[in-house]
Amino acid sequence: MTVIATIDPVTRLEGHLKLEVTIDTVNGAQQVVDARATGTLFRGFESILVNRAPDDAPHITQRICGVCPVSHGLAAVTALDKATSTTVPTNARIMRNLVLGSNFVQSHILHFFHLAAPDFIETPGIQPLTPGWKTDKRIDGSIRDKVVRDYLTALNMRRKAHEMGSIFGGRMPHPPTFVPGGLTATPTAAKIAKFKAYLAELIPFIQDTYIPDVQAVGGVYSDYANIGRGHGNLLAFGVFDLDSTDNNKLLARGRAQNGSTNIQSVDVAQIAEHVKHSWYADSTNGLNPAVGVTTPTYPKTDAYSWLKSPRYSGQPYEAGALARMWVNGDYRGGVSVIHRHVARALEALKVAQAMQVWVDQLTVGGPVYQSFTWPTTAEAYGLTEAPRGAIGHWVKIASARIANYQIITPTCWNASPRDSAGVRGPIEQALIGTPVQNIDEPIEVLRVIHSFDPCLSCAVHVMRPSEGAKIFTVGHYHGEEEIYTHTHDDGEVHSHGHSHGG
Amino acid sequence: AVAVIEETYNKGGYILVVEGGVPTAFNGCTCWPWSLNGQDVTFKQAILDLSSRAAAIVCVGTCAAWGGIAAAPPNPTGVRGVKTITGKTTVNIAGCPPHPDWVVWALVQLLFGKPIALDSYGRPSALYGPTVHSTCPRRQADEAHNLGEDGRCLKELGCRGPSTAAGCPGVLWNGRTEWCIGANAPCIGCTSPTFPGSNQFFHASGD
Ligand code: SF4
Repeated sequence: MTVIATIDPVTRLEGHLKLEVTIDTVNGAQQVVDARATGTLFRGFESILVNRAPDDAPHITQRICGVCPVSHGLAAVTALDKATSTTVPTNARIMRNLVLGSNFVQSHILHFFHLAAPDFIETPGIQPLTPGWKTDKRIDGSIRDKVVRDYLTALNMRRKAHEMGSIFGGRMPHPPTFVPGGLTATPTAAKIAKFKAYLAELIPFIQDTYIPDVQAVGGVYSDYANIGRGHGNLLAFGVFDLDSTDNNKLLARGRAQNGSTNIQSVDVAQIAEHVKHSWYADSTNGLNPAVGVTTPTYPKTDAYSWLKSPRYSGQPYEAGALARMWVNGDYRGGVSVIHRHVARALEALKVAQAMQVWVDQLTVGGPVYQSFTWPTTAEAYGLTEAPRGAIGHWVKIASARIANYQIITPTCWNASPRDSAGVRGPIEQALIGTPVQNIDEPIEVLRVIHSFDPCLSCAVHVMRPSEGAKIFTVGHYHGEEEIYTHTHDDGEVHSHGHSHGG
Repeated sequence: AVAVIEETYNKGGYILVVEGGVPTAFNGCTCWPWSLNGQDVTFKQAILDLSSRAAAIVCVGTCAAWGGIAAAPPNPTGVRGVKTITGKTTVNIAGCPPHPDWVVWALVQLLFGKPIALDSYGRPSALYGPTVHSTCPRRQADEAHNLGEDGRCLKELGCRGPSTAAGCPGVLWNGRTEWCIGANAPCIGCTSPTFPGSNQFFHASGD
């Protein structure tokens, strides 16, 4: 008996994603046997950038996302600095790291407590956490009460991390201080002291609350150390430059194939974006982003997503904190739902502790900006990391205007649809084999999706071909789920009303 | 989420809060916020349906109000503001992003049944009265000639403060930690109906 489940929208993530999962019983165990991820939003930022002044790129691209704008700002200025062969002052390099580091800390805290934890703990029956699914909520009273309390503390900590970022960012989100050539803000003794005061609150929270809570949840759900592995290919562009060479970073660039500890180098020429299953013109299939083209084509046969499928040497790769920590040798516990959460928590601590060192390396009164002139023509790319994974901007300049701009976001790597060879994207593959206890509340599917911290909104359709197709539309409002059940007979859809999950 | 929205819709008389502009290209199929009875619902359809029974509509952000960055030339997905799509009056809490205090202020006014006076662009006059420039602490300062200079007026670099209505100099951002001009970043005019336009936001150096 096969069932296809659709969750739409899958919430507790940023953006728009829909997931269709086929569930079947294999060797007596009900599990996911196929998955299709659909990005349900296209905005065309790449076309908006064409013909604009290159200076505008960090401001425009940050508006792609309110959760990880800083990474877009940094990818843009990195590409533009390369295009003009500018080495930014040390103060600027450090302040860029501090703003991005603050964003990593706030994003990781948000992800675990506010987006992922409600998949594992039964949340209080108050809005906006109702209605909620009850399936497989194993956490008992004392741990549950602690995580719920910490959920509230985490809101405050997240706010503090945002405030910390705005010291040199000017404002969060969309910090306006990121400019090609450096940063507009300057370090003063007062700002440095203020930054350190925030770190002095955030580091103990990560150490004594965030990491132990992740470990407590991981202990109760130890089976999730082996659920949601996927292809096991891990890719990191690397982030937090420790000097101006581009190859000395807090978290190194590199990749690992199939969970190997043998770390290989990254050659951007090996990246190509497939669009066979995406709503873009087939003539643009398989292009490297340096010559990439974005031509929306809807409807299109075989296509089911607004996301392109980036591949490295033709292979899908997973991006994110686990990939970074794995490549850097900081964490190699395994590739799964729980390992992704643990790596993210440990990374938050590593970055916060590194910021303590960096903030003391700022020179009060030192330069923050290096002037330059735009070349008439240039081509460059900027690679860095968002909290949720590798990010790259590719820019072409002609007549001192942007002639082409291509962006590959981390969620493009992770939530991509099948490629030209029909190989599933990382999230699609990670769902295969996921056990499903109760097909009316496929909470296990959400746990796998959320472990990637996708920057999207998401959907799952459940069908039973033998009984006529059955579709569940599942959504949750800021944290909890509800279900619509509809039965297809002879291709007709009849509403059978809906029942709340809780 | 969808059940809560449906329930509220059936009751009617709610405050509809919209984030994001409304795409119209490709029949609106570049944005499906959810599906209903197995059918994808476009954002445009959702806005048309939900606005019909709303007591008030609040646009949170410049995109929902007038299209914003998503509608910047060449407006690839045909994004329009909510008022253009629905023909209804909207309370436009402009900004990219809008200040949280402004959002909360508008909701509190509506929840307590207080009238909100709007300017000709649909923004609350109480929030978007004087320009950034008119209350900017750098008005008397010497002008900056390059980026990264502390305490100077950013006019020569292209600061849009003189043409932008917003209270940023007073409220500041992120718990009053900082604001754009305070960090030497020229105002890019994110609360204006014309934001972002096609002109360069600001220049690295002035005359
Ligand atoms: S910095 Fe901008 S807003 Fe402030 S005084 Fe100068 S021009 Fe006006």
